[in-house]
Amino acid sequence: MEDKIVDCIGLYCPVPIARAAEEIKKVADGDTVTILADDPGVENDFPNWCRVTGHELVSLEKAEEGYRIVIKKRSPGS
Amino acid sequence: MGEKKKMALVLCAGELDRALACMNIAVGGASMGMAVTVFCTFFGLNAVRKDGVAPRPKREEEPKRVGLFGARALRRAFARLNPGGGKYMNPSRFSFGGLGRRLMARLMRDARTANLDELIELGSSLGVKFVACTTSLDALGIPRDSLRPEVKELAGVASFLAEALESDVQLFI
Repeated sequence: MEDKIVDCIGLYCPVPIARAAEEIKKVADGDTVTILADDPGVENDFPNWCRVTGHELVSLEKAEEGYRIVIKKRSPGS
Repeated sequence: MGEKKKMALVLCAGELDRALACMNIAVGGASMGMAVTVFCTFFGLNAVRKDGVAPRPKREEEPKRVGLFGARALRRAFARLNPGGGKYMNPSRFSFGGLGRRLMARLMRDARTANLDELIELGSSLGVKFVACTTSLDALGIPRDSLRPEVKELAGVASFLAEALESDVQLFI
C-alpha cells in the first residue's frame, strides 16, 4: 500500500482536483492519495469529484492548514 | 461511470475573465475523467495564441481575394490592434485601457490562482483538446504559427457540431 501526498496549500480551484487526477493515475488500484488543500471549495469539490470519477473518498477533514483529503483509487469495474 | 463522458466548449469571447472560466471548466472536466474539447473562435482565439502581435502572415496563408487596394495594410493594422495571449487580454470590467489586465494579473498572482497560460498547459497535460476555427483565423488575419503548440487541430463548425452531438455537456462562452 502506497500513500502519495499532494500539497496544494495556497492553490485554488481547479488545481487541487487537477493535481489529484494526475496523481491518482500514477498509483495502483486500492492505493491512496492524500491531498492537502486550503481552498474551502474542496469541501464540496472532492465528494463530487469522487462521485463522478468513481474513486473512493476515504476521508475529508479539517487539518491545521486547511483540509486533508484521502482518496482511494478505484478503477472502473473493480 | 461507464463510457467516458464528453464535454464540448466554445470559447468565443476575448475577455480574460471568460477565457479563465472556460479553461477552468476544461481543466475541471478533464480532471473528472471527461474527454474535453475547447473550440476557439473569433476573439476567443486570443486565449490560445502566443503572446504579442502576430508576425506578418505568409502570402499563401492570406485570403485568396485580398480585395481593394490597401486591404493588406488594413489587415496588418488590425493585427497590431489585436495581440494574442493571456497577458494582452482585458477583463470584461475595469479594463482602464489596459491597466485593468495588469491589475488583475497582479491580484491573481498574489492570490496564487492559476493564470491562463498555466490553465492551458495543465489542461493540455490532462488531455484537453484545443481546436482553432479556420474561418476566424483568416477573418482576423491570425497566422497558424502564432497559435500555441497546445492547439493541435484546425476545424470548422461541422467538427464542433459532431463533437457537441456526442457530448454530455456543451457550453458557449
